[in-house]
Amino acid sequence: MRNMKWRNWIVPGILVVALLGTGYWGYTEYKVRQDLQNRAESQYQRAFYELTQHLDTITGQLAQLQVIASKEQRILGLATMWRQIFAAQDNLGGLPLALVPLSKTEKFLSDAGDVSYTLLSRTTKQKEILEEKDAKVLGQLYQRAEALKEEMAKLGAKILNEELSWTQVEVALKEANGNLEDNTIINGFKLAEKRMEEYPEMETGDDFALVKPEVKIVRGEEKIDKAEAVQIADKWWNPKEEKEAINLTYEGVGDIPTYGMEIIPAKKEESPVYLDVSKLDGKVIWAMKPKDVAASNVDLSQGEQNCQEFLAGHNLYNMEPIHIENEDNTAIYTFVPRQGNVLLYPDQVKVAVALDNGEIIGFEGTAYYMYHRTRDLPLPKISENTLKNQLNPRLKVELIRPALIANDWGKEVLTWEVRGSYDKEKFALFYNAESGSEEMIVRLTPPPKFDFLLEE
Amino acid sequence: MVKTRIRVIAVVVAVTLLFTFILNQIVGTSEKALARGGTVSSNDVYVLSKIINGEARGESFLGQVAVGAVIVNRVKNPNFPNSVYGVVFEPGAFDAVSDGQYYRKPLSASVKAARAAISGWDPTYGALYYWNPATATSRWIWSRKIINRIGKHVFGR
Repeated sequence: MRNMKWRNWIVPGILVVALLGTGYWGYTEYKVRQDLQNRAESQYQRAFYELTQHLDTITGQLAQLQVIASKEQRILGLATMWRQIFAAQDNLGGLPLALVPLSKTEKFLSDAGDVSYTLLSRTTKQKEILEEKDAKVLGQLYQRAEALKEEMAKLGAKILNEELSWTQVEVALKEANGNLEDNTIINGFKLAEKRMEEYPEMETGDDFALVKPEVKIVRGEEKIDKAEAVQIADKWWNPKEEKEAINLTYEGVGDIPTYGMEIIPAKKEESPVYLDVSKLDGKVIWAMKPKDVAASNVDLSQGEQNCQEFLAGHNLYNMEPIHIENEDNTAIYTFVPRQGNVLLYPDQVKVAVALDNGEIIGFEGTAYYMYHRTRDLPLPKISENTLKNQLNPRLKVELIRPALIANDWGKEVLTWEVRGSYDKEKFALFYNAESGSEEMIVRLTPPPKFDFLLEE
Repeated sequence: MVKTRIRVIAVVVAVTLLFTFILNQIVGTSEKALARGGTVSSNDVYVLSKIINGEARGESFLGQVAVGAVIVNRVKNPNFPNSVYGVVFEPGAFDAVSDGQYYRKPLSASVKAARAAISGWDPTYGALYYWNPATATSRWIWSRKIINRIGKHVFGR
C-alpha cells in the first residue's frame, strides 16, 4: 500500500517541477526583455533630450550671429551651429519616428545646415558685421528655430511629467502602421511639423539656392511607343545576338519617363538583360546583365578598350576614363566626355566589364542623357604655370588638367583639376580657373577591402 | 493503474520533447551552409546587400537593385541620415531590421544588386520610399508620388 502511495506522487511531482522550471524560465526571459527594453528606452530618452538641447543652442546661435561684430566670433558661431545641426539631425534619426511625416522639420534642419556651411565658407571674404541679406536669411531660420524649440520643450516637459515611454510609442506605431491618432509624443511632433508648415518657403536669394541643371535629350519632342522601345532595345544590346524575347516589365513615370525592358537571351545558360528606354527620344538610359563572373582573364587596360569600343558603338565619342572600381572580377569604369581639352564632369557615364571574358555587363548614362550639351567655356584666366606655383608643396602632384565641375550648389564652374597624393591618401583638388580659389577637394583613396561570407 | 500512469508519463515526456524541438526550430538559429563570398571595398556594400537580402529576398534582380537604390537615394537626401548605416538602422525604417531578417548572411545576387545600386544604377530614378501595395496600410505612404512598380514593390517619392 505504501508503495502505491509513493507512485501516486510521481506525475504530480514531475508536473510541479516542470511548472517551477517553466516559471523560472519565464521570469528570466521577462527580466532579459525588460532589461533590453530599458536600454532601448534610455537611448531614445537621451536622443530626445539631446535634440531639445541642440535646438536650444541652435536658436541661441542664430540670435548671436545677428549681434556679433567680429569675423572670428562669427566663424566660431557658425561652426558651432553647423556641428549642433549635425547632432540634432543625428538625434532625430535615432528616434523611432520613421513612420511619422516630419519632412518640414527635417527640411528646416538641412536648410540651416546648408546656410551655416555656405556662410562659413564665405565669411573669410566678408566684412566684420554680417551683411544685410545674410542677416535676413538667418532671421528667417531664427523664427523657425524658436518655434521648433518651443514645441520640443513643451513635449519634453510632458514626457518627463507623465513618464511617457518611447518604446511603447514605437510598438503602438508599428501596430497602427503609422496611423496613430491619439498619442502625446506623436502629437507633439505633428504639432511642431504643423508650425513649420505655417511658415512660407524660405526666401534665401540666389546665394543659397541650389542650381538645378536643365534636363536635355530625354525631354525631347519625339515620343516612342512600346513596339519602338522593343526595337530600340534589340538594336542597342548586342544587335547580332539571338534573343528569345524582349518584354516590357514596367513603365516608369519619374524625372525620366521610361519603358523597363527585359531581354531573354536565346541561349538558356545566359543571364537576362534589363534595360530602360526613355519614352521621349528613345535613349537607353541604363542596362544591366547580372551574370555570375568567373575568374579574371582580362586585364584592366583590355577592359578599358572594350568599354571604348562599346561607347563608340553607341555614338559616345571623346570619352575619358576618370575612375575605375575593380572588385570580384568586375570592373566599373567612369567616363566623362571631353569638350576640346576640358573634361565635363557632370555628364558622366559608367560601364561595367566582366573580367572573365571581357564582355560589357552594365551601362549607366542617366547623368549624360540628362545634362550633356555643348557648353560656352571661357578660357582659364589662371594659367597652368601660375597654378603650379600656388599649389601646396606637400601635395605630390600626378596630373593637372582643365575640368568643368558642378560645385556644392550645383553651379557649373571651370576649374583646373589637380590629382595628387599625400602618403597613402589620394585626392582630386579643383581650382577655380578664374579666381584660383580651391573650389572642391575629393578624396579618391579606395576604401579598405575585406572578405565576406554568403549563404549558399 | 500503474500501466496507465507510465503511459501518461511517456506522453508527457514525448510532448515536452516535441515542444522543445519545435521551440528550438523557431528560436534557434539553424545552421546554414556558408560560402566565401568574395571581397568588397567598404562595408557599405555588405550592409546594403544584407538589407536587400532581408527586404527583397525572392524579388527579381532588378527589384533588389531598386530597393538598394532607395537606400542610396536616402543617403544623398538631406532629410535622411547621411550614411548607409544611418539609413538602414533608423528605428522602425525597415521591417527586416526590426524582425531580424537583416542578420542573415546574404545571397550572392543581393551583393551584386548592392554593388550596382552603390555605383549609381537606379531603376527608381530617385525614389525615397517603397511599399508593398498588398500589405501597406499606412495612409501616409499612399500620398507619395509613385514612380514605378517593380515586382511586388511600388517605388515613390
